[in-house]
Amino acid sequence: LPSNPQIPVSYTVWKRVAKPLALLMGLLAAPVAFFHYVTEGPKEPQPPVRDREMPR
Amino acid sequence: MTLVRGDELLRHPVYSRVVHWSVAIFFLLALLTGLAIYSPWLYRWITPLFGGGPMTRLLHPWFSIVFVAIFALQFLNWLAPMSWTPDDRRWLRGLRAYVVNEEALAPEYVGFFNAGQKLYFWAIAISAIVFLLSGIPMWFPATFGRVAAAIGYVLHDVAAIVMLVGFIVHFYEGTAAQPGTFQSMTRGTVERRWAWTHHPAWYREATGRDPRADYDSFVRRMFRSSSTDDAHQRTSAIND
Repeated sequence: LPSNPQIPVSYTVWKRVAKPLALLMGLLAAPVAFFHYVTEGPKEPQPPVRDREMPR
Repeated sequence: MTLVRGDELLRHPVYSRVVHWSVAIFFLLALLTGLAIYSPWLYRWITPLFGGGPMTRLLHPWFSIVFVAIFALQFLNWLAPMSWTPDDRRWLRGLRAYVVNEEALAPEYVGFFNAGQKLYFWAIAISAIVFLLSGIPMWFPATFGRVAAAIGYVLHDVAAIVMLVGFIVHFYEGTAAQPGTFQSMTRGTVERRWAWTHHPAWYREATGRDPRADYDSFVRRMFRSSSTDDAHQRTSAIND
């Protein structure tokens, strides 16, 4: 080891900032999908034949 | 064996379904063990599921190797229908309309897979290569050196995030967003209505019939049989 070992700033930024932020942004896809479902609804086969398939 | 009823079409034969679910299982195992190593916060929650930290670390590369191997089979199985065509660029230009459900029926040129599904497939293919090439130096840092392992960590994490987003979107599209799609990967079949709605060019190829003409004829039959506004009669129109 060097006499005065130091952790590079780039590594700290990567581990403490970039990685958690990237994970959070990735997981954001789940609430976005939920929001899409609530606002746009499912894409039912056409024409709708069952009651649950009728446009809301 | 796949049982195809009168109002259905065979979408995914047994081999495709077995390969798909094998890929899915090992992808999830690799994802979970990978996420446990990715973040100290997730480490606390996930590692007990796999027998502790060292066991999770040990299992992750093996789950991943199996995932890549089975995905190679899926790659070969779906290479032809996943090939990119000029129609896929047209589909991407209409992406906004697709996302906001602007059109009830997909454009007539959409075949067995749409461009969104193809993009996900190719993202997995590229990510699987990145996982493999970056994961091996991480697995054996003494052999490949510190620099290769460090670059590997960055590439591995970027590919993992891309796959995580892709998986969430894929799961949503395959279940809640498009009713009937999940059945194609369980029973292997889809309703004809599903086929002419989402993949009209494949419907034409599979049946030799015009998807729009069949849709119009179905609507006319449904109108006749729904004069009493009875949901049961509307459903029975499928089997006419």
